[in-house]
Amino acid sequence: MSENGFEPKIVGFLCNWCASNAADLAGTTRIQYPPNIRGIRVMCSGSVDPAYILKALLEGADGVLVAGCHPGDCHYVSGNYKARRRVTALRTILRTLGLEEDRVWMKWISASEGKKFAETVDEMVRSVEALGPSPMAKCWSL
Amino acid sequence: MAKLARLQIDDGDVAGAIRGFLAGLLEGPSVGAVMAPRAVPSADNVVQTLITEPEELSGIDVLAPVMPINAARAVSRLTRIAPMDRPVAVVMRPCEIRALVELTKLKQADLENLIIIGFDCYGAQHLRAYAAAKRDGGGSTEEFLNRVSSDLLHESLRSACRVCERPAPETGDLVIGLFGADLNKELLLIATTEKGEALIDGLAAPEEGSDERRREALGEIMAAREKARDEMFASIEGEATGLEGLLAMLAPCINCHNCMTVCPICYCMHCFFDSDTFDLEGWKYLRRAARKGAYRMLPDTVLFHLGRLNHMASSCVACGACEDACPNDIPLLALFKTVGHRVQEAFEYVAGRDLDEPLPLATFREDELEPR
Repeated sequence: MSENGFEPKIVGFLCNWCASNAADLAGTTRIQYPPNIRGIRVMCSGSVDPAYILKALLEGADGVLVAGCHPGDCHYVSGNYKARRRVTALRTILRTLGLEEDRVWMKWISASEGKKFAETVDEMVRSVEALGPSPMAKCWSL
Repeated sequence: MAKLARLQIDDGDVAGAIRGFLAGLLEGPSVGAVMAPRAVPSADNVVQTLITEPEELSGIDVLAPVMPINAARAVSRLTRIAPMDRPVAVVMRPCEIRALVELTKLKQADLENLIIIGFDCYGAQHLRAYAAAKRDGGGSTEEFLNRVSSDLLHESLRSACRVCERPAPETGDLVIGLFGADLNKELLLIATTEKGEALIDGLAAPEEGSDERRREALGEIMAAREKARDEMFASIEGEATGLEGLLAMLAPCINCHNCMTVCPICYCMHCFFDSDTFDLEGWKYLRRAARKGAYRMLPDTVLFHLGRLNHMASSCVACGACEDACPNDIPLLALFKTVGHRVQEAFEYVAGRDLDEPLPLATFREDELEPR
């Protein structure tokens, strides 16, 4: 928790074949990470329509993490590369409109990287704490 | 070097000269039909019309300064289920050709047997302004061309046209060249493909040559428009907008989705934002209201516009059909063109420029972007 009591809410779209296993691995190996992330298992990072990332931000998430397989490792060959383009497009849109693109993260985390998952969540929570609460999260008129 | 022909204009009748050229095409063997804008019987609008008989060309006004729909939608309707079984010449504005190129990549149109005739476009007026001028007995195409060729940013132009930095066709088979031409005398026909050359072969004195004067005039127009465009970008970008700015811009939105309906790029049969994906049980809305203290009903106005940007900004051709269709004058062109430009820049892509450039969201490179 940051000094002013702000607890970021992070929504994580976690690939079934890598990052969601990494989250499990972090748990079973008892690696501590902040409980601020709400993980949603998806079949592939490439299956995440950016509309869902936006919906999460508009409904109250302070940050969204999309985590998929490392380059070359995608279970569906190229879903992660396509996800990277979609997230790039979304972040470009947010940046152009002055809407804090740094609330949207994309990371590669393999099934064996429980430690990297924990570190990523930790890093993201600290980064979003520094940004402060999302203006969208409190805005009723969206 | 391109093949050129000069089309003589008699008594300042530009529309008549182009009609004569189209009549020649229909009488010849190489074209089975023409699709072009034709004045409706009440004369206060034009609609894309398929013409098979030369005598039906009356009322065809290719350069009429109004764009009620983006013609790429008409070409999509014509060719989506099956390609044309005989050559059809379609006459389109540059932004309509760009939209057609995008729709073709999206597999919503088929260019087989299509002959694309583009024209140098000074812009168009909003349909309401065009219709009003026509009802008052004015609004002729020639008068409009006189006015805007000397004042490229004239206030009667649609906002999309005032900031259009690609006013000349970049793809297609034949260009009707207006820029740099003396429209009391003649205009230029420039063939850019073999199909295009076949169209002007029958005309008097086709020549090998360059359209240097036209290129010069085009350069001037592009420079003026780019300046206006960059000012528009600055009004939208970064902190200038932010959440508050965006909410203020979208405040009059009534969720009619007209912008989506008329968008040539939004081709989905059933739009994600018209689906029940985000429809909830009443108690869930109450929970959301409790979380924020209050909750807008209907929700998802910002989601709709940002989501639509997400789905189509990489293919946005900045035709401005969205803004024309907005009943409450939301500056959608500025929003979509600015964001579209930045997204396309990120992928080194220009929507509609080249049929061979893959759609940015349908392709990738292994060594690009972040994370690596």
